This record gives sequence, structure tokens and C-alpha cells, in this order.
Amino acid sequence: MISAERILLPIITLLILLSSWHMLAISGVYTEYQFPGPLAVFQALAEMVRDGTLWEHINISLYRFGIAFALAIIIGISLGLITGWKTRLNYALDPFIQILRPISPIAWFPLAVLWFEIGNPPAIFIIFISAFFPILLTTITAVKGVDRVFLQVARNFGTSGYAILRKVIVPAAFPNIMTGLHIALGTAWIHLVAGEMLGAQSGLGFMIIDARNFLRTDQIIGGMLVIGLIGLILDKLMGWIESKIKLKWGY
Amino acid sequence: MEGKSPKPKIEVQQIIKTYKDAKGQENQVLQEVDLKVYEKEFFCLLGVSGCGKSTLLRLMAGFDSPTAGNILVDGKTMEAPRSDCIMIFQDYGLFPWRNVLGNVEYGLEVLNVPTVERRGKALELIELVGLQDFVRAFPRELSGGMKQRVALARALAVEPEIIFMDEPLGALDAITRLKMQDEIIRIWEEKNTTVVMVTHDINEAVYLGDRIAIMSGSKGNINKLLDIPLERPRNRASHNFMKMQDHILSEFEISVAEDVEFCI
Repeated sequence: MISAERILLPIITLLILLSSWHMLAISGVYTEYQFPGPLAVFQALAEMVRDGTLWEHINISLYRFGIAFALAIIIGISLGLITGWKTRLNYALDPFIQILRPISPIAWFPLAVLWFEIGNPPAIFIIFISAFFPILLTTITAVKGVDRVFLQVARNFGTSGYAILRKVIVPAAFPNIMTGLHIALGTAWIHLVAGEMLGAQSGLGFMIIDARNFLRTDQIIGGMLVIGLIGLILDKLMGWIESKIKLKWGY
Repeated sequence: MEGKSPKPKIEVQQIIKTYKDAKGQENQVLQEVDLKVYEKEFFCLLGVSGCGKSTLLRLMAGFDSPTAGNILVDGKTMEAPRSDCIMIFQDYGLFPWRNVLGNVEYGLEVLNVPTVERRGKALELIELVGLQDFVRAFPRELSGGMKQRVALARALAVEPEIIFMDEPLGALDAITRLKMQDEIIRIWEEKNTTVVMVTHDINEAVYLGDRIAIMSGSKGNINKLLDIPLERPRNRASHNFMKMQDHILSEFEISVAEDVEFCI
């Protein structure tokens, strides 16, 4: 049961934030182009909702995000499972993963453009990169952290080869892999906007760049709010899926 | 030794086990251990923490290989864990993502037993250990004693020749522990399996064991082998039981190793 305070307190915060924002906007410190107030921003949003451009941008962004995140999950988890499981492969790959990991997805921008030119592919690539490493690393750590007793029990009952992976390692590592996916989702969503500033002609990131070109600060802030809101929804959705699957698997 | 064939099921021959510690120093855990466990026998390895009893059990179950010496099961060298010699670990090793039924079915699943057959068998064993009302429960929903029962049922499902138990009741409260001892004996008598159990509880060893090997901490070998010729069901309050227990107690207090066979 959610208590009244859990609903009431955020609403109060929201009201305080909106009114201070409004006060600051009308104070005259900045021009309206530099710092539009909440009313202007919501009008801009309403306008984009009405003419349908907002939905178009959201759609294409979610499409790119979905493809990139799915690819990162498939490649990241399968590579992570094998690397975590086979100690020798882990020895062979670990230093290189550790070198690639700290490179910001933003540093991949020039290569993304050179390799994938314009349109969907460079954006998808950047989102992929930002989700891939967290997924890969948490999967490796999760597999390495599987309680040895489970593996011993599996061996004792004659489980061998691929069946150990399928019947023991995957379910045992699952809760931690899921946590990794959750973190990766957030990271990837953050980089979506950046990825879409690269030669894309649509999407939420493009929408912000486009608004900047036309000095539509109200649309920029509106776009930022939409990005934050969708990020929150995705995060909640992921948390919900996570708890559902965990429950089904007895965690 | 009534009701027991003299055929050795497990032969431990001149086992030496050394480990390297963090400083690279060789640490001898077991020194030339010799031991025979007979078929259908309930055998207890008794000793204080760190005496090497769990190491010896792991070697017998094939989870580790000796530095020197030989371990034979049915006359053949034990090289790796086998599904006819099941180990029950101290913390049970139940799969948290499988419910009671799923855990008990696991071994049969690996052996590719058809679904209907393995389900029937698993349910039968779940009933044997008294968990018929918890078939769909997950391990996290079970108490320690119940988890122990699931581990037992999971082991029995593959009809092992030998069950190894590593302090199986160590994590249980005193009352549950006594109840589980009776359960283990009941099931052992019904299934006629060879059991090798590690314990540090003298009372438990005397109550359960056909024979007890007392291991010494300092030397890493077996100090004494004792027959427990008490009739089953055993009475913890009986004179002979107490006498046996006192005798073992004195074994631990007097650290002098005597190689005299004990008889009542």
C-alpha cells in the first residue's frame, strides 16, 4: 500500500519547482529565448503533440533504442556467459575488455559516422556500445560469482557441457545479469540523445538539435523533459519485468 | 556388524592430501589415511573442525584428488563425482530457481528419465521425506530442516549406492536436529544405501553410526575406529549409549593416541 505521503510530497516538490522556475523565468535575468518559463515549454510540447511531430520522434527513438538494446543483450549476454564460464577465454579477453570499457560511447562518435554514415545505423551503434559493455561485464561477473556448490551438485548428478550452462549457470547468474540489464538500460537511454545528434534526421536527440538551430529553447527543454519521462517509464518497466521473472524463478 | 556384508564398498588406501596455503607453504591435511567402508553401512567421520574430515569426504566423493594414495569405490579408482555417489553439502546446495519438485527431479532430468516417470518418482520421494504439502515451494520458503529433506530426496531420486553427507545437520537447531537424525535413519533403513557422514557431534555419531572413525586434528589421520554395536532404534538415555559416548569423549580429552581397538 502506497502511503499518502509518497504521493503528496512529490506533488509539493513539483509545485515548488514549477513556481520557482516560473519566477526565475519572469524575473528578467534571462531573455525568453535563453530561459523560457514552464508555460512556454508546455505550450511548445502541446504544439508538438498536436502536429504529431513529438510522437514521430519518440517512435523512431524507441525503435533505434529497441534494436540497439536487443543486440546488446543478445551479444553481451552470450559473450558474457561463455567468457565467464570458460576461465581460459576469460584470461584471454579480460585485458582487452578492460581497455575498451572505460572509453566513453561519445568517443566512438567519429568512428560511428565514418563506419555507418548517417541515418539510423550510427545512432544504433552508439546506443549499442553504451549498453553492451555494462551487460557484458555484469554477465561475466555474475557467471564467475555462481555459487560453487551449485556447480558441484550439477557435476555430481552427471550434468556436463552445455547442460551445465543451461540448467545451472544461466539460472544461477540470472538475478545479477538482470541487475546489469537494468543499469545498462539507463546508460543506453542517456546516450540515445547523443547518438541521435549524429547525422540523424529524426528522433528525440535530433529534435533537440533541430530546436537549437531554430533557437526554440522551449522545445529544447520540452524535449529534455520528454526524454527524462520516457527514461523513467523504461526504468520502471524494466524493474517490473525483473521482479516478475525473479518471482517465477524463485528469487 | 549384523546385517552387513563384509564387502568393502569404499577403500581408502594410504591417502595423503596437502594444500598450499597463501604463503606457498605445504600444508598436510591428511597423512596416510587407511579406511574401509562396508556396503550398506552407516559410517561416521567424527572430529573437531579442521581435522581433515571434510577433505577426506570430498576425496571419497571424487570432488578432489589425493596428493598420493588411492580411493577405490567398488574396486575402481574414484576419479570424478558420479551420480551413484551423491554428496549432500552442508548448506544443501539446493537450486533456488527450482521449487521442491524441480530440485528433486533434477538428477532424473539429467539422466533423461521421461517426464511422467520422473515426476512420479520425485513425488514419491517428496512424500518419503514428508514434504508433500510443499511440492511447489521454493527453497527460500523452507526452513533448514525442510531444505535438508529436499536435499535428501534429491539425492535418493537417482538411487545412489553411496550418500556422502558433510555435516548435514550442522545448521539446524537442536530439536530439529534430533528429529532429522531419526528421519535419516528411517530412510537409510528403507533404502539400504551406504552412508558416509561427517559430523563433529559425538551424540549424533553414536546415535547414527554403525562405525565411527575418530580423526585427530593434529595428525590428520584416523585415531581410532569404533564399532557401535547398539541395537536400533537406539536409546540416547540407555546405559550403553552413555558409556559409548563417554568413551569417545575421553578420546578427545586425552590427546594421546592409542592404537588399541575398543570393545564393549
